[in-house]
Amino acid sequence: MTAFLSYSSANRVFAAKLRDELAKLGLSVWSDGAAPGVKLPERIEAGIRSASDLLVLIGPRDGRDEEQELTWRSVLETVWKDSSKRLIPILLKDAPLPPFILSAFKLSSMDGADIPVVRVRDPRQVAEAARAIVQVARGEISRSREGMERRRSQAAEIREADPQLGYGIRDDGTKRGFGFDGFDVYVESSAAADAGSKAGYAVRLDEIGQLAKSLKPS
Amino acid sequence: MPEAAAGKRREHFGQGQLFADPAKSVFINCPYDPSFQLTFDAIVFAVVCCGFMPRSALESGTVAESRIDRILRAMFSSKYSIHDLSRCRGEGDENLARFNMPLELGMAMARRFTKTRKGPQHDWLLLVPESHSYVRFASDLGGYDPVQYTGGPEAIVPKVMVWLATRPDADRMPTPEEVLGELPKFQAEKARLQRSWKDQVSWADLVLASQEIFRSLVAAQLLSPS
Repeated sequence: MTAFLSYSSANRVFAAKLRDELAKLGLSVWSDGAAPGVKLPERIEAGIRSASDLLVLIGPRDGRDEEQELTWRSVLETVWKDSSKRLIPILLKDAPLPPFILSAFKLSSMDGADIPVVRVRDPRQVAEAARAIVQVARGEISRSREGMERRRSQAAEIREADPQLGYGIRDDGTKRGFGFDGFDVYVESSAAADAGSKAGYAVRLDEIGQLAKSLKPS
Repeated sequence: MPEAAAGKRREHFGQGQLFADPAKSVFINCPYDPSFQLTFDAIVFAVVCCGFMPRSALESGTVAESRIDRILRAMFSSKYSIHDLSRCRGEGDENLARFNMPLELGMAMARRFTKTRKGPQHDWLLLVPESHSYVRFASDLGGYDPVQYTGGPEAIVPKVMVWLATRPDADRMPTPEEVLGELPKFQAEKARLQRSWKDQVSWADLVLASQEIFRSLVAAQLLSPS
């Protein structure tokens, strides 16, 4: 499994650490070999073509970064041409979801409103971010409408039992509930990221425990 | 059918549905000749489907102003512009090239260096057919890596859309496949307008027709069960 990681120069340090952590988990990230005589756009396109997963890292204060913009364009064109490529946005802190991510999917498709987005509230938790990314890359997190509805249903049941619980994922071993507050890293739906809300992502019931173990509650 | 074409009421550029917010305006500097017409129409339609307003020297409909003034007026009230240099090559018995487009590209490039607090005032996309010798007649463009394409609408629509999708003012937009799927409807509506107006279709009517087809696409897609 090979991934391509797009990031801005402002997030270079986090991106380097993330690349190392992903490699430890078996997800190798394409790196620019700077082949002599080959222009940067062509090298980036080659990297994107060779990757099965396209990781787009977005920071809260990303400005105009020409290299990052170039990779966004290549990523978007690639997903338009080849829908088997998995697009995984990674949002640092409170970074908004750029609209181009949703433009990767047809208007009629559920996917645009329902792709997993890895939110990294605390960039120091890079190992946990890598684990969440690998789970998404392996398809271990559901993106189906059915999954979303099942999870909503379970959330409603749990909220009924304990109104203090929010809507997210939590498993402290004694009780299972929902609520992203307190997690440094979590997976939200693109619709939630787009709206800036903390609504949760559809995770299959049998995966909740598995996901929660990889996310560290405070 | 656009209301203007139906004779119900005329929309004028800059008003109502044709309100042109500079941050959402895209000046189109592309060939108007018949052999480029399908590609030109595809660019206009794609710009509308991306949620932006296509702008042109044709939009004012006035002849009481020089062409260069109309171009500057439309370009300077647009944050974005698209330039195609296909026609900058020798043509006709005298083998002359048309250089209006590089001239307008130069104006847009200069405008990029006029900055506001939010960044450059102008951003532009340069399109050239593959293997085009633009570098030989305008070598200063050598460092810009223009977007190259081969073919007509199918090739150029994704290039225009991917550029617009990654602009800071972009919203969610359809995919090129969806836009190209609707393009024949726009072409048919344009042909109908041309017949009605004896080939004197206004820019406003073209944009209104694009908007109406795009709105129908969005409504149909969002309402359809997935």
